[in-house]
Amino acid sequence: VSDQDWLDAIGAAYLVAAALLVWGLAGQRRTATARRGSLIVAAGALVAVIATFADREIVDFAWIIAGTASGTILGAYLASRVGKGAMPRAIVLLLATGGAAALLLAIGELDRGADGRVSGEAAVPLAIAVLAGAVALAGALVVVRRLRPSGRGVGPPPGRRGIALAGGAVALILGALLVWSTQDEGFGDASVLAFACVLAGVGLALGGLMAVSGEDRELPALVALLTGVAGLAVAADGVALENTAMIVAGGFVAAAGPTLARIMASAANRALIEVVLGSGGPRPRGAIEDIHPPG
Amino acid sequence: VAGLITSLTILVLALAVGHLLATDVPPAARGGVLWTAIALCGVALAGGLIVGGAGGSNLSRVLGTAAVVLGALTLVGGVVLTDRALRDRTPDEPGT
Repeated sequence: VSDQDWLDAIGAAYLVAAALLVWGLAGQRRTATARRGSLIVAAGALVAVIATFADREIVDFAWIIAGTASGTILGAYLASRVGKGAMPRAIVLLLATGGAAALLLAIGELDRGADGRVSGEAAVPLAIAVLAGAVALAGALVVVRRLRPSGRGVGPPPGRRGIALAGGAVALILGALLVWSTQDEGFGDASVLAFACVLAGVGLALGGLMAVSGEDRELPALVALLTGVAGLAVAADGVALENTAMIVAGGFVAAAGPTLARIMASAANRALIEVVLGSGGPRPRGAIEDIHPPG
Repeated sequence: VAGLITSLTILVLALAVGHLLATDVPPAARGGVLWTAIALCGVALAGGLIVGGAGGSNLSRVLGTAAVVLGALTLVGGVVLTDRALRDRTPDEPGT
């Protein structure tokens, strides 16, 4: 079998996977078909993963088979054991692990080449994946803490808006430096890893800052937004690796997350930008809260 | 560059489909869509397979394998959790 035949077969499998994902997600739009829809989505993801195992770039199977097996067993065991009341916290914890996976894999890909060089085409999406994966990881972990039965949001740190905007600017500069350092005229081999780690650190700080304050009724919108950020990280990784399944699945999540977040934010009488940057302190109670008291 | 343009074309179409799939979802079904979207982030597992199995630097193999474990955990855990929640009724939006 020629290499081209392999590529065609994997591409065809990814096409089947994408079709299953759309079909399943469409089913989730109605409660009557939601459960079947989620299982169709799972089947699509399974097809994508099996097809990726056939990738000709993979030469060493021992670690990745062991990793897939242990992650699968751990996920199935923990998810079937967690109590009903703790399930919302558990799903947000899984958002953190998903963001962490996208983050670690981006740093790993940056380090894969012997000399720390990746093409500019891959370096830009990898920088995006490092930042977005770190934001989703830290933000989700903070939300998990806030969802404890005794957990409550703290007041917004002073100057939260300014810190967030400054942090975003620093992240942009670091991302540009990271991309530059992967190129021939860059700063040397070790600098790629150093910039990637600092960029991840800034992303963790931004994600934590985004999630730490705000009112509890903003939490659903916040989780949806962080989900979109994690999806963006997965899609960016997919662009860098030219993996269609990751681009498709990540792209769906990257768009669906913010769309859901906007709907959920308006249900909480908030604009989405206020969930991201903070509303500048608690709002006076408006007419809508008076008509529909909380609880 | 041709590969990059193809990838970006797929990405733009995926973003459009994702947006449309999440628009006008009735409130009772929103939580389920969100939970499945979280599980779907576990597709990062596929990238971990390539980075961890391609025989690059030691660090890339370690990080790739870590991404495989975390991705599989997210995907399988998310699917099982969502299915358990949907067995009774549609899951809550986290935080409500």
